[in-house]
Amino acid sequence: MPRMTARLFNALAVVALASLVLSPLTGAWAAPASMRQMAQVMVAAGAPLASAPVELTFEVTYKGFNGQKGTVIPVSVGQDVKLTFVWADKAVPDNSHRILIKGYNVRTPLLTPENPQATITFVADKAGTFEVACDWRCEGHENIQAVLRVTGEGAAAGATTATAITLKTATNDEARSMTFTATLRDTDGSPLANAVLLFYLEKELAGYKGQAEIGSASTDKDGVAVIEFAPSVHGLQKGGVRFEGLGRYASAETKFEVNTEHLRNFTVAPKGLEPVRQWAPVVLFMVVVGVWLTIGYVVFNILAIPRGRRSSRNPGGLAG
Amino acid sequence: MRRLTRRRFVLGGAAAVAAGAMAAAGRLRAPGEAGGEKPDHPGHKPTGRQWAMVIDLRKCEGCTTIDKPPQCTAACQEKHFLPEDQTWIKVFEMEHPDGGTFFMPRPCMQCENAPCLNVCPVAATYRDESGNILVDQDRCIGCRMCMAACPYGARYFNWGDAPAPDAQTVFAQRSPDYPVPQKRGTVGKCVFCAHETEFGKLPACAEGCPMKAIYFGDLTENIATNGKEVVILSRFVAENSGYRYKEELGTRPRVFYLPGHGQEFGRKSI
Amino acid sequence: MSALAMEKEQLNTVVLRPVLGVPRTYYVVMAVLLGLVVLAFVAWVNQLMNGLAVTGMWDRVSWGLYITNFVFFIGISHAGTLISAILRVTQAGWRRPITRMAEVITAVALLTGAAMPVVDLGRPDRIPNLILHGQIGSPIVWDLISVTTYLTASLIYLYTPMIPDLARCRDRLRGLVPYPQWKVYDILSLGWQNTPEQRRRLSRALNIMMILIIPIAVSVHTVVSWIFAMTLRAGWDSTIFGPYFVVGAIFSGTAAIITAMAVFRRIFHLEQYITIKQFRLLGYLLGALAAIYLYFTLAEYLTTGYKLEEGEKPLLEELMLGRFAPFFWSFAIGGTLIPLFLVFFPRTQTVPWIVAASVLVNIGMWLKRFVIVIPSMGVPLMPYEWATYHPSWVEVSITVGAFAGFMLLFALFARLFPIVSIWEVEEMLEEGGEEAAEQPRPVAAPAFSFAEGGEGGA
Repeated sequence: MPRMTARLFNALAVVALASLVLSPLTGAWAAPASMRQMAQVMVAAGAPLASAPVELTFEVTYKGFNGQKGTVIPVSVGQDVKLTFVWADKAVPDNSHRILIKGYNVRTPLLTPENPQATITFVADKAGTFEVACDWRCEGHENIQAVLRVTGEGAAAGATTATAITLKTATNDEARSMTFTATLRDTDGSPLANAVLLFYLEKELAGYKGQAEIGSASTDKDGVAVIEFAPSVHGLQKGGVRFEGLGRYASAETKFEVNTEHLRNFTVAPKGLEPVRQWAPVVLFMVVVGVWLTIGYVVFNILAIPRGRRSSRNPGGLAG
Repeated sequence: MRRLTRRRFVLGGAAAVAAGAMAAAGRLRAPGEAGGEKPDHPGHKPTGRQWAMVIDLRKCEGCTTIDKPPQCTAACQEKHFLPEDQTWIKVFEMEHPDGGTFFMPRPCMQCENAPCLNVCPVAATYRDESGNILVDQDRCIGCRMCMAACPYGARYFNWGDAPAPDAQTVFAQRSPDYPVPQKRGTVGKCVFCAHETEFGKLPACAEGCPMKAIYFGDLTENIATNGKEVVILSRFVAENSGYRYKEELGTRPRVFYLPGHGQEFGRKSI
Repeated sequence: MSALAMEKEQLNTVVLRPVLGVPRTYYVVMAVLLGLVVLAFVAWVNQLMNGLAVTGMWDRVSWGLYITNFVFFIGISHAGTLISAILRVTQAGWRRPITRMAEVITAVALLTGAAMPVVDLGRPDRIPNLILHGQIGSPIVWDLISVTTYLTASLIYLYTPMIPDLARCRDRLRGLVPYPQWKVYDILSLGWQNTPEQRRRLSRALNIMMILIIPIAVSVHTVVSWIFAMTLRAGWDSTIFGPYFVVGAIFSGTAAIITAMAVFRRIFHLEQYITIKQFRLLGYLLGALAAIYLYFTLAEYLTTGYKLEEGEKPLLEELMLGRFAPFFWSFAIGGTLIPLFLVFFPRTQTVPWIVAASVLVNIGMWLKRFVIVIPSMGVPLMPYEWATYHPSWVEVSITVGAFAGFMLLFALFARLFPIVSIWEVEEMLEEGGEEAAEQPRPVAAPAFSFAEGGEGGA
C-alpha cells in the first residue's frame, strides 16, 4: 500500500511544517529536531551568541513563505544572516517574486522558474523590526510577508523590563494645534531618558490602513517627550505613541483618541486662479461691445446712403 | 416707418453695453472655475478630497534593474487603453547635478495655476472638485493650445484613432474621469485616475509601481499612501526635502518629488 | 478743363478695361490656381477622414505649417490698414491709386488666414463650441473676437470707398457686361448719386472707419502674438511679442502691397497712375519698418540670449547656429538687411529693385514665422532630444493651396471690380496730381468732421 504510506508521509510533513512556522510566534520550538535551522534559532532566542550565523530557507509561493503569511525570523544584533529563497509557485507558473528586506535594503534578484533560487547574506547590524516581503507585482502579493526581528544586545527575548507610556493632550492657545505630552516610565515608576517616542495617527486611504507618523521626540531626564500636533481635519482622530524598546527595556505602546472638532484655522488646500484676474474679462467684453457698436453706427450711415438719392435727375454719379 | 435715429441708436447701444457688462460680470469669470461652466459627468460624487501625489525618487529606478519598461506607464496605458506613444505618466532619466542620472516619473502635475486650463477656449479642460485637471473629450475642439501651454509636456493629442478597448470597456460611457476610448482629434492627459480614486482606490500608476515609489494622497486630510504605508503628506514631503518640478514657473503643481536616485534599492547614480 | 476731362476718360477706360474682358492667359492662370486649391481641398478631406495623423505634426511639435501660415496671412492683412487707413488719416495724396489694392489684400488675406486655424483644428465640427462654451480667458477666443471684428471692419472699409466706383460701373457698363454682373453693381452702389447728403453719409462712415480700423488691426496681431506669448515656452514667453508681431505684420503687409502693385501695374497697364513715386515712398516705409523690425529682433534675442534661462539656451543655439540657422539668417539678412539696403541705396531705387526687396521681405517674413513657431515647439521642455518636424504632403499642399487661394480671390476681385479707386484718382487729377490734395475736401480727404453741422446739409 504505497499510496497510503505516501499520504501519511504527506500529513506528517504538513504537521512538521506548520509547527515550524508557528513556533517562532509562540517563542518555543516544538517540532522535531530534524531541521538544520533549529539550532541557530534556539541560539537566537536564548542568550546572545552573536557569532553563530542564522541560515534559513523559504519556499516562496503565492500563499506566502513556506505557505504562510507573517512568519517571524528572530535574530540578534551582530549575527550573520543567510536567507535562501526558492521559487516554488507550481500552481501559478508565471508568477515571479523578488524578496526585499526593507531597512537592510537587501533584495534577491527576480525569482522565476528559470531562476528559482537566490540567497542573500548580510550582518544584522541594527536592531528593530524589518519587513521581509515581495516587492514585485505578483499574485498573492499580500501573503508574501514576514518579519525579521533583530533584537538588540542584551535586549534579547528574556531581558525585559516592562515600560509604560502615559499621555496627556492639551489644546494650545488660539486653538490652532494640540500638544501631546508623553511620559515613559518603567515598571518601578522611574522615568527613562533619551528614549525615542513615536507618535502616529491611524489613517486609511484608498483601502490602505496604516500608522502615519506625525512626529517623534526624545524623552528628557524626566522621561517626558512633547510634540505639537496640528491636525488637518476635524473630527475624531485615533492614534498612538510607541516606544520601540531600548537595551533591556521592552517596547511599549499607548493608544489615544482625540477630537479636533474644537480646533480652527486649518490649512485649506488652495484651489484655482487668483481673484485678481476675474474682472479683466468684463473690461474686455465692454471694449468689444463698444467697437461693434461703432461698426454698427458706420453700417447705419452706409445704409442711409440710398435715402440721400435725388428722386429725379440724371443719375450721373460722380462722372456727371 | 420707425427711423433709426442717432439718439435711438446711442440709447440702444448703451443699454446693450450695460446688459452685456452685467452678463459678463456674472458669467465670464476665470475659465473652468466656479462661476464658469463645467461639463457634467454622470456618476460623479464629490469626495471632499484634494488629490496630490508624492513620488519618492529614492525608490524609483526606472524599472531598469528588472529589465522591464516602466511599470507605472504600462499600468496606466493598460488602464486607459492608450496608444503606445501616449505616456500619460512617463519616466525620464534626468541628469543629476552632481553627475550621474536619476529617474523621474512625470504624471500630469494637476497644477493649481494650470496654464492649460487658463488657455482652453471652450472650457473642455476644467478642474473638478478634487482639484484634478480633466479634459472633456466630447467638447474639446482640438486646437492644441493647451499642449503649447503645458510646461511639462504632459498633454497628448489623439492624432489618429485610439486602440479599441476590450468588450467590457466598450460599454463604459466616456467621461472626463475615464476618457476611454480616446476620441480622435482631442487632447488626452493623466487624470489621476479620477474614476478610481473617487471610489477609494489608488491610481493605476501607484498600484503598478513595483517599488511603491508613488504615494497618492489627499491635501485636505494631509495623508498619502503608496499601498504599503500611510504617511502624513506635508510631513513626509518636508522631512525628505520634497520639491515640485519647475517650481519657479508658479504653476503650483500637486505632484511632489522626494529627491533621490533609486538608492533605496541600491542603485548607484554615479 | 477738357484736358482734365480727357484724362478722366482715359482713367476710366484703363481701370474698367479688366472688368470688360481679360486675355486668355488670365484664365490659364486662374485654372492653375484653382487646380492647386482643389488639390488642397482633397488634402483637407483626406485629413478630415484620417485625422491629423496624416500631418507631420506630433505630440512634441503640435503646431506646424498651418499656424505659420495663419500668422503670415494675418500679417500681410495689415497692408490695407496701413496704406489705406494710416495714409488716409495723414492725407497722403500719393496713396490714392493703391488704396483699393491694399484693402483687397486685407480682406482676402484675412479670409485665407482665418481658414488656417480651422484646418489646424482636430475637431472642426465643434467650432460652434467656441460660441456655446467660449471662455473669454483664452487667447484663442480673443483671436476669434479680434479676427472676426477685423474681417467685418475691413470688408466695410473695402466696400465704403468703393460705392462711388460701383455707381460708376453701374452707369457706364450697362449692357457691356452680363446682366447679373451689372445688377450686382446696381445693388451694391446703393443708389449712389453723389448728392451732398450721400457724400456726408459716406464721408462720416469713412472717417470713423479709417480711425477705428487702426486699433482693431493692432489688436489682431497683438492677440495673434499672445497665442504664443501666453505660454511658458522658451522663445514665446516674451513681453514684447505684441508690438513685435504688429511691426512685423505691417512690415510684411507693406511688402505684400509693393509686390501686388508691381503685378497689377504690369498686367493692367497702370503705369500712368502707379509710378515710381509710389514705389519709392512705400520703399522708404518698408525700409523704416525693416529697421524697426531688426531693432525688435535684436531686443528680443539679446535680452534672452544674455540671460540664457533654462530652455532659451538650446533654442538660441539651434536658431543661430544649429538646424534652424539657415532659416533664421535667411530672414535676418535676406529678409531685412538686404531689403533695407535696396530701398535706401540711391542706385537701387528703381521699380525692379524695390519689388525685389519686397519679394525678399515676403519670403523672409514667412521664414521668420516658421522659426517663431517650430523651434519653440521642438525645444525640449523635459529632458528630451530636440523634436523634429517634417511637414507631410497634406500640409504642404494645403499651404500651397492657401497661397493659390489668396491669389485666386485677388484675381477674381480684380476681374469683377475696379482695382484702382477711380474717384479718388480723379480727385488727384483735379488737383494736378500733386500733393495739393492736402486741402480738405468734402469727400476725398475729409477732416475729422464727426459734427453734424457745417458742410453737409443738403
